[in-house]
Amino acid sequence: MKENTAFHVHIPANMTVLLNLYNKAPGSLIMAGGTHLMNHTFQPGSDHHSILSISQMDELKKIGRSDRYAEMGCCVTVNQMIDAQNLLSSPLLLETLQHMGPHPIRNSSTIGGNLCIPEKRMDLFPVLLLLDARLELRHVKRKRNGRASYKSRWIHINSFVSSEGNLGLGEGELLTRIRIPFYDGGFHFHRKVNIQGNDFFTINALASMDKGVLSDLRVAFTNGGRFVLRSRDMEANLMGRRFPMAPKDLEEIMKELFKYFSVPDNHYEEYLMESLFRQLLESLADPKDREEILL
Amino acid sequence: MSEDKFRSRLAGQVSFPEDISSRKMVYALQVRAERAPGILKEIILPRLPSHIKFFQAEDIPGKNYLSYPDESVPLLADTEILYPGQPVGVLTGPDADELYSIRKEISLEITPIPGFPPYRMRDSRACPAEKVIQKGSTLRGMEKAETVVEGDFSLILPEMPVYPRQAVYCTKEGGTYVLHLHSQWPSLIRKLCAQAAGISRKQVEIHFNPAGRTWDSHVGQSVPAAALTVCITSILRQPVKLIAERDLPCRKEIFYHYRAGVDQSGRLTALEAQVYLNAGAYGCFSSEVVTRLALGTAGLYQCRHLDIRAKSFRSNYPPWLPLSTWGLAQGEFGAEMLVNHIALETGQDPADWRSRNLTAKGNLNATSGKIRQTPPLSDMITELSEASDYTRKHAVSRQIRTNRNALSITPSSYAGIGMAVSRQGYDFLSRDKLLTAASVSVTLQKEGTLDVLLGTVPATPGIMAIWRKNISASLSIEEEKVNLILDRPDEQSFNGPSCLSRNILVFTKLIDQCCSIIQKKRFREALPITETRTFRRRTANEWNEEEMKGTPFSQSSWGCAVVEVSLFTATREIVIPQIWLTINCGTLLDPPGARSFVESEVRMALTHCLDKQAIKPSLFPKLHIRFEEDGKKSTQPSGLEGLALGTIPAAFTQAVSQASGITLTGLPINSARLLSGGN
Amino acid sequence: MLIEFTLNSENVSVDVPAYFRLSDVLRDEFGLHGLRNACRKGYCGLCSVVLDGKLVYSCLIPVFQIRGREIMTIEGYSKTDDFEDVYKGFKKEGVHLCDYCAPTRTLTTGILLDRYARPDEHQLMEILTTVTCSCTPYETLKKGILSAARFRQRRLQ
Repeated sequence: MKENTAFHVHIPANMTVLLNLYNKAPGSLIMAGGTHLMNHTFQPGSDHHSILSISQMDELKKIGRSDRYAEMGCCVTVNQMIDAQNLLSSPLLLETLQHMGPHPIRNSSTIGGNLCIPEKRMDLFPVLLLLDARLELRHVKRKRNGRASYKSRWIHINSFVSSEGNLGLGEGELLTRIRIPFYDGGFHFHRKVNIQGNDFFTINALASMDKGVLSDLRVAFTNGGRFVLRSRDMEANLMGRRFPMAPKDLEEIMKELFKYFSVPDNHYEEYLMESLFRQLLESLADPKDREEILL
Repeated sequence: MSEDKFRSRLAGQVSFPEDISSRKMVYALQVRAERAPGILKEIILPRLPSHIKFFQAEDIPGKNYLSYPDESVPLLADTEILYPGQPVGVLTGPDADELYSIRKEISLEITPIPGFPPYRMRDSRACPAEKVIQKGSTLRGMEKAETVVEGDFSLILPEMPVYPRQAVYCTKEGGTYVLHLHSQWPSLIRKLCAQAAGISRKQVEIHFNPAGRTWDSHVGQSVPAAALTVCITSILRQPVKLIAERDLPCRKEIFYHYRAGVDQSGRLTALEAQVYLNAGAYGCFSSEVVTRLALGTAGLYQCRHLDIRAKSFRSNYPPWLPLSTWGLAQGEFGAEMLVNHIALETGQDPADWRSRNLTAKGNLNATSGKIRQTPPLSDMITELSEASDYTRKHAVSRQIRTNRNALSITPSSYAGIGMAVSRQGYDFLSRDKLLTAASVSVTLQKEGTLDVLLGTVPATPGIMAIWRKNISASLSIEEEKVNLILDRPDEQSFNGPSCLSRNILVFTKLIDQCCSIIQKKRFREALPITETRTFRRRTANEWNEEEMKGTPFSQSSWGCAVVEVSLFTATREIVIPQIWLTINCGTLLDPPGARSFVESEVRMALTHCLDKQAIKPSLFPKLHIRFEEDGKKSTQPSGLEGLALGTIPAAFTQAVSQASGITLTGLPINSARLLSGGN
Repeated sequence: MLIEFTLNSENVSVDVPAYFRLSDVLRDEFGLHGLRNACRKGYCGLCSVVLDGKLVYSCLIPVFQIRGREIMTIEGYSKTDDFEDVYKGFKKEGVHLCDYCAPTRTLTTGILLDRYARPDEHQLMEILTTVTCSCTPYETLKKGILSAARFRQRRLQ
């Protein structure tokens, strides 16, 4: 029994060919692991697509590290990242990766695919945002004389997505590498709650404490995969405070939460945002008890 | 199971209908109406290539309807479209992808008509079945009541994906149509296929795979697909494979309204209930389901004055009956919810209330039949309460909830515990032969082999081995010489569906009877010896379905469950740490099979509770299952199916109500619904 | 599109449209019916195969992606010693799987035991989650997997 959507596929042998093809047909879809495209995009009755496959390009499957960061190609799979946990050295990232679907799915889905699904921010985006990841975007530019000029730029992951939720990729531009800086704070917090169907609400946080004083804090919420919420003002407001907080201070911060973030449409999401943020603050007060609180 | 068979099963050497293909085979794809209700005016087809054919209602060689119990359903709709997704035609061709693309170009001209009226309106056209249980006078009962407790409950069953899908492959060999499909009811398939294709029943041969677990809701599923495939094969004279598509979204809902009179000591003085079941566009199987629903709703407790009215109503959704357990477990959901409500209103421990109010030997049951033996439920409740520490946990959780405002800290989670009891009977309650027929024919051949014609599909993989072992022991024949024949085309006997544990109970009994007679005749008569035994339907004196009087089940099995939940304060997530389940179903024939069956049913019950398509292994609770067996040889086996479904949803709802402090009135429950007050 | 690859240790080629799903190609072109094509959404896990030594859901893999790669299905796996370990483990613990999920459950168990030789509770959950079928109790399955792991360790020692 077949129930397929026909598409044309091009399998470029190297990056030069890939960039040229994408430059000529910027409406093509890029396929790495294909888990999202095969499941959601290629529905019976959907439009005909032109596909550029990148899964066979070895240069996009490399994982490396330097003193300051780990670097990986966009076709590195989730399970490869889990196996390279020593290279990544981020417990928050590891925990997030381990919650990303069953084992066979994690063998197919890639970091690039997870970041580039249009109109949806999947699990990795908020974590990489907190880790200040940088992304390499590449494209080819045609000069008047017909010669090609290969361009590459590194951007902060923050500018990869516009405020409307669109991907910050120019025409014919594609994500090729991800650089994840090491974070030396000793605290992380990750919660993923199923809202409905396949939609999840997540809160991710990284922090470092110095003798009970919060010296760094990074918090991001995702709301059913639709958008990512992060407020540096709110983080700045908390930094420098001593934990555990006085109940009065804690209540004051809780009251101010929606000054920094707009209230979600869904009442349950609003509740989750408040209560998980409170849980985060309580965990900061006693990081050792965090596991027990989660249980 | 033999070693080779087990190995070939693990190695994937068992074939399914979707695995079969042949060179001349064509695919068949159903064309469905997208809008409903309406009158089909015209089917506008694109220009079809010569190798693609389209068939509609007028092309059906036999009768264009499937006569199920209670109502007939058109095989292909020709005028009236009653639900979105109703089939109106079939496309055939050698390439499945081409059929999909052509189907997109077909358009239907449908004139809209008004839909069925709302369920509370008494419209005879929209009410395929209604059953009433009346005992005493509820008016008098209510007069004696100290307080009157009222409640509205609802049960909405989620869509669950069914694997394997209903693929059908049919080929014509000589004058015989050979069907490969999954089924729980081969004889109905043979009958309706023959009717639709205008051929004799003897011309339909069925090779079927057991459709995984024989959940009752699937009994009729493969019939329309099989009938269509046989029709097309008879027209084209080519092998045909009908493409199985995703199930249509149904509206599986049941509404309850209760009014109960309770005296000073908390005893029921009167019980009034109205139950409404959404049957979808056609009310097939309604009568049996509504009867069982009414019986379940009446509960298992002493009450002199009863007025239970259960009815099904039509709606513009796909027909989906019969539901799992054919309505008994779903009826019990309402009853158990009410009982818990009464116990809490009167300040009693629900387990204690149940033990004190259960019917016993000498009482009349809800349908005025005399109870000849005290059900073992009271002992089961006591044992389960001890095992799960129900009474203490119930009191503690209640206390914490009551005093939560006085607590100095907010706990990370609130706990709750719930209990429910259930009964199951394997008999069908209607007198429709289509459902109740069952016969077994055993032939001892000259060569010493024994052919056992069953005409049923085994409910669990282990039961065939048990039958073979029993036969071998009673007739002293080697197990290899016992041929269990599930279906034979030249056989005219008609058997009801394999569900409600019927094939374990009825067929085990019939096989035993046949074997003992053959044993007597064995060295006295010439071989071959054939012995046939038929299941005796119950007489109207024992059970009168029209008036709903008498003893409904010849043999009952009993279940009691305790469900514990934790409700996380921060996320309102519901986690079920433990479930205790005690089951009394007589002698167990296949203990590992029974345990496996119960766990599967628990998983299904939890999907009903949590509105999920499947329960992840990491979220599955610790399950304590205990089978109560008296160890006597004379104790007969009784049914297993439906006991978890009859207890767990109600116990779960009570537990979540307690943990959340909200009086929940229905299922399914999710965190967002809990936050908005449970509605 | 002509696609050459290794299937169950044999070099094979097939000429099919590039957009076909691997599960369809393995079933229809090679007659490998041990993998099922039930949900086609990467949900049920019944179409699991081993691609270059790693478990994947073949309904989510377009066939062009397997060019030059190595595929193993249950038909190939059943000829290995690893299969014997799973077979013995399941047999010993009475794991009565249904005909529909049995081959995939066997394959996923065997392959993940390569990764987790002595699976802990978390790893057992990971093995169980690969296939969605409710035919067998989780406790029985867990015992079967642990027993298979023991047979495997004994053989490798």
